Amino acid sequence: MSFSVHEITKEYGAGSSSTIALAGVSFAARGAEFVSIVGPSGCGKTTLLKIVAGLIEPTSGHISFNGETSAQTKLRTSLVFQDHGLLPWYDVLQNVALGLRFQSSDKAAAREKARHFIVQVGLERFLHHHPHQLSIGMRQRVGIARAFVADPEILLLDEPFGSLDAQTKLVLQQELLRIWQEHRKLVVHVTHDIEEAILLSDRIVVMSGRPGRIREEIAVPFPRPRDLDVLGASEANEVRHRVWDILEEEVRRSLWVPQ
Amino acid sequence: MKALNDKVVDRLIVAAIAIGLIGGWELAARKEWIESLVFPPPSRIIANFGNLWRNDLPRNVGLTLLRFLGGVVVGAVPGITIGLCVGWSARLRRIVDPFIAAIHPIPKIVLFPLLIVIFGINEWAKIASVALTVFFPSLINAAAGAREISPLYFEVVRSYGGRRIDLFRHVVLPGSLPMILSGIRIAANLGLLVTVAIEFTVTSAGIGSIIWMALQTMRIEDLYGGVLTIALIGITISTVIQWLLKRLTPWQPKS
Repeated sequence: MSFSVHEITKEYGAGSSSTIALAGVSFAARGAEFVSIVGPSGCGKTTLLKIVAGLIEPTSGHISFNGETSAQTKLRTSLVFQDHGLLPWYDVLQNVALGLRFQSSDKAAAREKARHFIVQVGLERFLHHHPHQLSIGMRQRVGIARAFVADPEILLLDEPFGSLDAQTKLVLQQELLRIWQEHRKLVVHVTHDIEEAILLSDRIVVMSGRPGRIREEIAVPFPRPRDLDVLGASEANEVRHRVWDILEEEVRRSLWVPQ
Repeated sequence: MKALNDKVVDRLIVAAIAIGLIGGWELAARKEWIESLVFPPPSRIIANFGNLWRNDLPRNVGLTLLRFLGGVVVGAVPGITIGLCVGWSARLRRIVDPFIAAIHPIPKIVLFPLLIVIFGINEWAKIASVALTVFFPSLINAAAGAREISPLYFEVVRSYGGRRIDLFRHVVLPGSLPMILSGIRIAANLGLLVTVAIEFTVTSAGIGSIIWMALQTMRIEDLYGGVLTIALIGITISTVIQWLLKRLTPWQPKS
């Protein structure tokens, strides 16, 4: 399995009032690699993810998967949204089954598979609860179950734990690792949390501030399965420093240059 | 526990005020403190209601409901459908909005004579008149409901491979449901008003005509009986819609 993003640019608006969100972004991933994209806010990382998801058309550049460009085949992706993105009018089971809904017409099988992943995230007692009856952490668990149930070729995570408190975040990060260990697939993960990137990913892609470019790719040298202990290792410190050196520079730049 | 007690007490207060008002009216009418030809005691209105019932009230209620519900269905179904499309598509909204702005302010009852010219004096003219009244609030509310749905939900369904029809079914329709129902509530109130107003003028049957005939013949208890019947229909409608809201939109925060 190979996946690559070639020279993606994205420009919003036209003429003098246009803004460039992405200025020629390329990177590649293969197999069941877990790639994290880290960058200052406003660097276009969410835009990049939405381009991969097919929600936004890039201005130029293309994406290819197993040698075929995304224009030739529709890439099957699952996106886990920042604020869970559960439909408030559907209960947990319906929300998770939504991941399969548009792939096959076998409703019973979809529900069965949805139930399986709801059990995996520990919410079997909440099948018929609506999102507003769940805590924020539980909602994002449902969002994760929905993404896995669709059995995507690429799993996309858009700051999935950004709105959680620190403790819930740690628990969900480990849950994600556990489920992913069982259902390995290529992951592109966007975050501004360096610790999260080190804990979860095989490789960290560091982006510049707007317009977004790739500054550097840094390998995370820990074997799997992993747990929280890796964050204390000396290699983690090295990665942390390299990522932060670039990010600090970019963040300072974005603070001084008017947007 | 304290909040629960407060609620019970409040209900008792409401019941006490209601009993007090009706009892006061009864007493005042019997003692002739108020003109009982205009304000007959409630007991006599209730007793007369039985006569009215045996004297063909059910058939008249049926006719009124037929005109009312017929008009609601004929007006609300296209109103909601067009409203959802208009709310969903900004382009369609720009095209349709001027027409709504031009036609909506006309009180639809003034078109009734024209509808008679078109349909003749028959049930169709009456149903059409109610339908026109119901159409606009249904449309406007459905459009507002669809427009207010967060773009996030459209992205979610699209990202999992949903097409336009899926967006309609899984986002636009359920997302607008609370506003659609509140539109129907407003539309139904107006529709009932127009139904009765029409029955005042051109029909020999229906609750409106019972009230009008009672006025002509000065049978004041019949007049009150008609008003009471309409009130009961109005209460039933809003209870049904309240129930539908609770059943169909359980995700809505309780107001």
